[in-house]
Amino acid sequence: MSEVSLDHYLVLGAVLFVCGALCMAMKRNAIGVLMGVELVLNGANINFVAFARYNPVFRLEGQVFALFVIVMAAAEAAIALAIVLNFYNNHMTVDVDTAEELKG
Amino acid sequence: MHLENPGLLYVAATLAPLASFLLLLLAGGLRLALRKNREAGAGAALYQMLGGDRPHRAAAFIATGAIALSFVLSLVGFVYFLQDHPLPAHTETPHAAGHPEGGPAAEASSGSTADRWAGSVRWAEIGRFNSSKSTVLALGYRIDSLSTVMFLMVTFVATFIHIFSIGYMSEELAPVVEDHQVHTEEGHLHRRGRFGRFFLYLSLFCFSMLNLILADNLFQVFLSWELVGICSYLLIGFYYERRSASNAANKAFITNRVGDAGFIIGLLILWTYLGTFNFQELFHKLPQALQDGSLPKWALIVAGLGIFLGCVGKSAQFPLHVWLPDAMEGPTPVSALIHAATMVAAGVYLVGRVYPLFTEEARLAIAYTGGITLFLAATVALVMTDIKKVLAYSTVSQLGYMMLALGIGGWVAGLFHLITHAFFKALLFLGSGSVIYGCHHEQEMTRMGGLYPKMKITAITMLVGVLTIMGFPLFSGWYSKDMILAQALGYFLVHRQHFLLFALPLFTAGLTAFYMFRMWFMTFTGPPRDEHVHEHAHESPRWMTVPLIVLAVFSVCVSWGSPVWSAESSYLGGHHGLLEMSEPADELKNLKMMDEALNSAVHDSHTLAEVLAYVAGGLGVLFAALFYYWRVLNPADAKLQFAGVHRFLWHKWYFDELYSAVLVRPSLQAAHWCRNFDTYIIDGFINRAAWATTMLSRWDGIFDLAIVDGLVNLTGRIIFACGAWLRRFQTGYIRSYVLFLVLAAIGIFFALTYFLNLAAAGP
Amino acid sequence: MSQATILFLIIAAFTGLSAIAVLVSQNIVRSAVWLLFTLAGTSGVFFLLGADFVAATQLLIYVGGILVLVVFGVMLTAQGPFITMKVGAAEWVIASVVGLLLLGVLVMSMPGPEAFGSSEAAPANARVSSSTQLGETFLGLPGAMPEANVSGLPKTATAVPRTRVAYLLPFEIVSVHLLVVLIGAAYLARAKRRKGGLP
Repeated sequence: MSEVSLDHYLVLGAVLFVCGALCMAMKRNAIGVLMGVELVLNGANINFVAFARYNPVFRLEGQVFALFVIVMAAAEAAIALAIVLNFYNNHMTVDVDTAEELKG
Repeated sequence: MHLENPGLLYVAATLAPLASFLLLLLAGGLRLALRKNREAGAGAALYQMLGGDRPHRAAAFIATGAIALSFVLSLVGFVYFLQDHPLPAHTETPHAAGHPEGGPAAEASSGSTADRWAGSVRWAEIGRFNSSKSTVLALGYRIDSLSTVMFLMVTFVATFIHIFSIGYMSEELAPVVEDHQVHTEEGHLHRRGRFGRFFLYLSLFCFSMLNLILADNLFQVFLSWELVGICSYLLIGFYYERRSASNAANKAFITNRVGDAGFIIGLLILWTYLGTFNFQELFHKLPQALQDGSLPKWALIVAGLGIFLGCVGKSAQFPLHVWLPDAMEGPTPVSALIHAATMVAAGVYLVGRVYPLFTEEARLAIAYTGGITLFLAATVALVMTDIKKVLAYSTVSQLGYMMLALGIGGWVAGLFHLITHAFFKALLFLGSGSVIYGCHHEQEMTRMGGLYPKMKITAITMLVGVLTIMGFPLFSGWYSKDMILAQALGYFLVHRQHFLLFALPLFTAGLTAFYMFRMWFMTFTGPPRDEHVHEHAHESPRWMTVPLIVLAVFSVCVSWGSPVWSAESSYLGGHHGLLEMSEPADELKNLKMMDEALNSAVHDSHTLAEVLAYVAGGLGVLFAALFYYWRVLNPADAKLQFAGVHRFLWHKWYFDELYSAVLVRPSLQAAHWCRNFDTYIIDGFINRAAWATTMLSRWDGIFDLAIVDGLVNLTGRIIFACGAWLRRFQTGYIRSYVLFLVLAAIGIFFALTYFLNLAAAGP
Repeated sequence: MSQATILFLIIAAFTGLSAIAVLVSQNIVRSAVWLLFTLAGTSGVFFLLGADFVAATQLLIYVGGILVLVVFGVMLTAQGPFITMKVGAAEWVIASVVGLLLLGVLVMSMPGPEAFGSSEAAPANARVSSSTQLGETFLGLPGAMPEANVSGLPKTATAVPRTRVAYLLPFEIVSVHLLVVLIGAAYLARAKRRKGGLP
C-alpha cells in the first residue's frame, strides 16, 4: 500500500460501524448500548470527513455534516441517558433483557 | 169429485211417510243438540217439549198418522182407479181394460187416462254430450192395478204394525232401558230408550217401499231397493249393542249387496243395449231389438239373471237366504213388516214387473230357484224351536212358492200369493210378538205350552193364520196356493221333464201344514213346559190385540170374490180380477212368450191340483197332531231315530258353515296375509330403508366430522402453528431486534449494491 | 511507506482495536475506557484528514462531554459491585457472523477509485484550513461559501448554476435543538420517587 486512499478510511469507518452495531446488539447493559450508538455515529463521521477530504465535489459539506452529527450525538446521548435513568428507576436494573414486555 | 191427476194421490201417499221421517229426524236432531242445555236456558224448555230425557210418545203418533194418511190416500186413489178402469165383466177380455194405453173399452179416454195415472219428472241426463245416446234419469210414477193393490196392502199392513208397535215398543219409552242380553263389566247394559228412533226408521222404510212400488223406471226402483236395504240394516241392528244383532244386520246387508251386484249388471246391460230404464219403453223396444239383433239373446239372458239375482238377495232365495232367519234379531214388528210382508216381497214384485224381460232360460232358473228354496226352508222349519225362526223359514219357503209360480208362467198366481201372504204372515209375526211380549220376551217354544187359556185372542188369531197358510178352504191362502199348485201341475203336464217343479211344492205343502201346526200346538196346547213362564204369561194390551184381530179378518177375506167358494171368481186374483188386469199379456204375446198350451193345461188341471193339495195338507196336520196334540208319537224318539237328518236340518243344511269356510274364512285369511305383508314386507322394507338412511347419515356425520371439519381445523392449526413459530421472533429483547435490524440492513445494502447498482450511481 | 501512511496505520489500528475492545469487554467501566480511546483515535483520524475543527470539536464534545455523561450514567446505574451481564456463547457466534457479514457488505459496496476521478487528495483541497473556512461559512460570508451541487433537478441543456449555500440557518436550528434537548433531558431525568428502593 503506497498511499492512504479513501478506501482505507472507509474501511476504518466500516469497522467502527460494525463494532457499534454489534455493541448495540450484544450488550445487555443499557449504557453499553449507548456506547454502541456512539461508535456507530463515529464511524459515520469518519466516512463523512473522509469523503470531504477525498471527493473533489464534496469539499466542505462533509465536515459540516460531521459537526452536525457530533451535535446531534450529544443531544441524543443526553436524552438516551435520561431514558436509561428512567428505565433504571422503574426496573431497578439496567439489564435490557428485563424489558421484555413486548415479548410475543 | 173430479180430480185431474188421481195418480198424484199415490205420489202424496208415498211422500207422507217421508214427511214424517224428516219431521222426526229434525225433532230428534234438535233434541240431541239441546241436550247439553237441558239444565237451564232457552234451550231447556224446547228440550223438554221435545221429550226431555225420555223419548216422546208423539213420535209414534206422527209416524202412524202419516202411514194411516197414506192408507186413506191409497184407498181414495183406488176408488178413482176403479172408476177409470172398472173390473171387466166375465165376457170381456180382461187384459185390454187394465192397461192405461187402451183397449176397446177405454179407447175414448185412452189419451187422458194415460196422463191421469202416470207422470214423471226429469231428474238428470247421462251422456248429454252425445244427445242421441243420452239417457234420461227420471223420477216417475205409473199406476196400474198391481200398483194399487200393492199400495193398499203395504199401507194397510204397515198402519196396523205401527199401531202394534206402540204397544210392543212401549218399554223403550223409559229414560233408561236395561238390555238383558248385553253384558258389560257392571252387569247388564243400561242405555237410553230409543222409542222415537224406531218410528223414524219405520217411516223411512215405508217411504222407500212405497217409492219402489210407485216407480215407473228401473233406476228409481234401484234407489228404493238400496234404501229399503239400509232401513232393514238399521232396524235389524236396532239393539246394536248385542253382538248377535249387529252381526245379523251386517249379514243381511252384505248378502243383499251380493244380489245388488247382479242387479247392477242387469241395469247396465239394459242401459247399454236399450238405452232406457223406463218399463214401458223397455217393453216397447224389446221385441224390435231382439229381432234386428241390436240386443243379443245372451245379453238379455244375462240381464234377466242379473236382475233376478237382485231379487234372490232381497227375497231371501237360495243361495242368499241365510240372512233372513238371522234378521229375527230385530224387534218383532220389524220382522212382521219388513221381513214378512213388504221388503222381501219387493223381490217378487220386481220379477212380476219386469216379467217380459225374462227369457225362457231365465224363467226356468227362477222356477228352480224358487223350488229349491221352498223345499229347503220348509225342511229346516221342521226342527226349529224358536218361534220367530219357524216363521222366518216359513217366509223363505212361501217366497220360494211365489218365485216358482212366476217362473212357470203363473204371473197372477205368484203375485196373488204375495198379497195374501203379506196379510197372514204379518198376522203370524204379530201374533208371535204378542206371545213373546206376554211371556216376557221368551222366544223358545220349548219353554212355552198351554198358553191358550192365558192368551185367547192371540191363540185364536194365530190359529186363523196357521189355517190360512196351510191352505184351509175359504181362507185367503187357499185360493193363492191352489192357483200355484194348479200352475205347477199344468206346467208338469206340458213339460214332462220338470216333474220336480210340481213334486216339490206339493210335498212342501204337506211340510208347511206340519210345521205350522207343530208351532201352534207346542205354543198353545198341552201342559206347560216351563212353570215360571206359564205363571207370568198374560194377554197383550189392546194396542196389540186389535191389529191381530183386524189382520185375521183380512187374511180370511181378502181373496173372496163371488161366489166365495170359487177361486176363479176372486176379485183379487181370480179370472178378470184386479191382478189379471195388469198381467203383461200383450208384451208376452209380442215376444212370443205366451204359451197357450200351458194356459189350457193349467185350467184343466185345477181340480186335480186341489185334491192333491188337500191330501198333502191333511197329512201334514195329521202328523202334527199325532206328535204334538194327541202326543201319540214322541218327537224326542223321532229326533233320536233320525239323529243325522235332524242334525243336518238343525244346522240349516250347514249353509252358514259352508259360507264361513268358503267365503268368510278365506277373506279373513287374505286380510291377515295382507296385514302380514304390510307389516313385514312393506313396513320391513321401509324400516330397512330407514335403517340404511340412519347408517348413511351416521357415516356422513363421521365423514363430516372427521374430514370436512378436520380439514378446516387443520387449516386453522397450520395457521396457528405458523403464528406460533413466528411468535418466537418476538423475543421482547432489544438486542435481538437490533440484530434483525442489522440483518435487514445487510440485506438492503446487498440488494442495492449488487442488484440495483444505486451505490455506484454517480452524480 | 511514507510518514502519513505509518501514522495512519497506527492511529487506525488503535481506533479499531479500541472499538473491538469496547465490544468485547464485559465490564461496563472498562468498556467506557475503551470507548474513550476509540473517540480519541477518531479525533486523531480527523486530524489526519485535515479537519482540525471537527477533530477539536470531537474531542471537546465527544470525549469531554458525552463520555463523561456515559460515565455518569454508569455510576448512577451501578448496582452494587459491578456485576457483569454475560451473554451466551451462541449469541457471540451469531453476532460475529452477522458482524462479519455486515463488514463484508460495507466493504464490498465501497466505490472504487474510478468513481471520483482521483483517489488522491486533490491539491485544491490542500487549501483547507478548515476552521477559518467553517467559521466563515457558518456566518454566511459570501466569499467563503462553497459551491454546492443541487441534486434532483431535471437534466436540462442549460447548466444549472452552482448556487452558494449558507449554513447559518442550520447552525441556528442546531442551537435551538440543543436547548430543547437540554430541557427534555432535564425533565426525563427528574428526581421522582424510586419504586421499591435500591436493591
